[in-house]
Amino acid sequence: MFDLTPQERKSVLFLACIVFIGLTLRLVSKFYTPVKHITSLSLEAFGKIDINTADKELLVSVPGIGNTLAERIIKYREENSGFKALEEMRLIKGITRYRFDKLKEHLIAK
Amino acid sequence: MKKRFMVAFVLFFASGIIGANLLSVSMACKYLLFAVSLASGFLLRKKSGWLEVCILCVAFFFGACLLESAQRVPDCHIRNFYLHTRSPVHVIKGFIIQEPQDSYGGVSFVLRAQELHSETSSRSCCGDILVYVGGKGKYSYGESLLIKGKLQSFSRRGLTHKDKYGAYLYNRGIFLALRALKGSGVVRVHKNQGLLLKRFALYLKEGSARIFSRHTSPITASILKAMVLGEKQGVPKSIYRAMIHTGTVHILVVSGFNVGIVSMLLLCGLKLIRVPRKARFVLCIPFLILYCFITGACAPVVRASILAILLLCAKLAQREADTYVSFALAAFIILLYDPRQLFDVGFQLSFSSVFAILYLYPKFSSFLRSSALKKRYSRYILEAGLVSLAAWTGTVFFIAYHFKVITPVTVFANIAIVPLATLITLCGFTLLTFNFLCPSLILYAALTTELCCYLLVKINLFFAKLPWAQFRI
Repeated sequence: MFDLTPQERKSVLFLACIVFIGLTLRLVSKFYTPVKHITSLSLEAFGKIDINTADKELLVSVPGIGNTLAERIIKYREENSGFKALEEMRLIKGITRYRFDKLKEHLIAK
Repeated sequence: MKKRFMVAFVLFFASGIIGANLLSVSMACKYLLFAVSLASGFLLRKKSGWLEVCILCVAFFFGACLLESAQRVPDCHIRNFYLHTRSPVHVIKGFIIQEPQDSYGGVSFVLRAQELHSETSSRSCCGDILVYVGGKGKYSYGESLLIKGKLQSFSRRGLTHKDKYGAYLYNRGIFLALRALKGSGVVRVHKNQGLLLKRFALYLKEGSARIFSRHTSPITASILKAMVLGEKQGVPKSIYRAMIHTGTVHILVVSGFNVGIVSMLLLCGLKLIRVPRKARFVLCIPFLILYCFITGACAPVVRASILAILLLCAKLAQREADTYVSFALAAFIILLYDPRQLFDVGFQLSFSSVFAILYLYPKFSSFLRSSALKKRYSRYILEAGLVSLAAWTGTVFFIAYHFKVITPVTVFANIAIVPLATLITLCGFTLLTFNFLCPSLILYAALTTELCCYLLVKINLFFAKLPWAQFRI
């Protein structure tokens, strides 16, 4: 009807595939709960550094943490057997409220 | 060789820009040599070999003179007046020329200064300054403002043009920063002085960003905004950092692929409504320019847009477009507008990667005889790996120089991540298309996009955690 070229036919097929995959995901997520994590991304475990296991080099790679602050974090961790929650970082010298708000995007306390 | 004389011309032009930056030769000397080359060209125009040599010399000295001209600050530049005033507080009137960005609890943007008022004097001025305004105020491109604050030269903050950030600002002609006073530091003049086309492009950009935010999760929306609209700010830092580790952060930059998709969508759409072939090509060009403005007119998009427009013009004129000549012409147009772009890392990476793919990939492919492979999927994987290797080879030097890092894992990561990024970009345009043409299907497109983003982030994290992913120099 529209005299489409092969490339245009592929485009229409691609759109149909997208709709089909989306439909499948919607149906599967109703019966299988873990699929909901795929269909709605959150940052809980994506790429954040675990402050309880990171070495100095890894901590320094986080924007806002220099050598001195990284040493203080490691020292606090050793003295207090790790961080129970990320908010404990506020007790470390040099971590202000503003800096903590920036750092918590990169860090997690497992 | 004569067929690609344009390539040699642009190479000499770029060499002239580099030479002018490295060597300290007086401006008069550069212009004199330029004039001598031009005169020699006229005198020797009937001798073909000598004429070409003269044209290449003209290109070289033209590049040198152009850079000199771009680096010279005009007499009315605000930097000149700042040096002569000692007033701690200045009032500057100007308009916003760049889309404001969120920055450290406030907003920062580039302001084109028009008037400077201090305690002792008031005068008209020109030049761009970087402004920081604290608080949650909303500002937009083109808005005319009266800002009261403390003006500072970057050199006083320890930044010179040899530092990375200092060089970035210096190459954009920004030498001063203004921190607005709290409270009544900013007064709106209620007049918009921005380009109408750019304002319209930013309006479309905001509308598209709202569509992504409405139908997908925040992470997926931020990835879509980066890949489709060129807005990287919202991408979570942890994901961005992981992509830097694997050397795949280039997928978050709008590039020629996006321009190709926009061209294809436009041509398809115009064909569906029975627009004649030549008219389709002509109508595509202004939309490509609009898309260029939407994505912030960065070097990769401008390069790709120029290449696409040249290809469309070649089709209209029923002539064959030469890839290398078009590539050189795109570089020439960008450098003609702003020769300082040659020192911008985005420009260097964009052109070096594409040139390496164009030049090295056929050689790698013929060496390994990839076309002889019978199995389609193994041939695809090998060819994808060779393209990735070619691009990596072309960019490794620039990445090592600018970022002091080498990422060998990039060659392998690209094989998996680039096709996924391609799929995500296509899904992003699909979301926008469905929003207008078929809203009932948008939910399914959004779910598919979420799945693709999930796979992208997971695979990238896998490669980032490999022991030999990255080496710091």
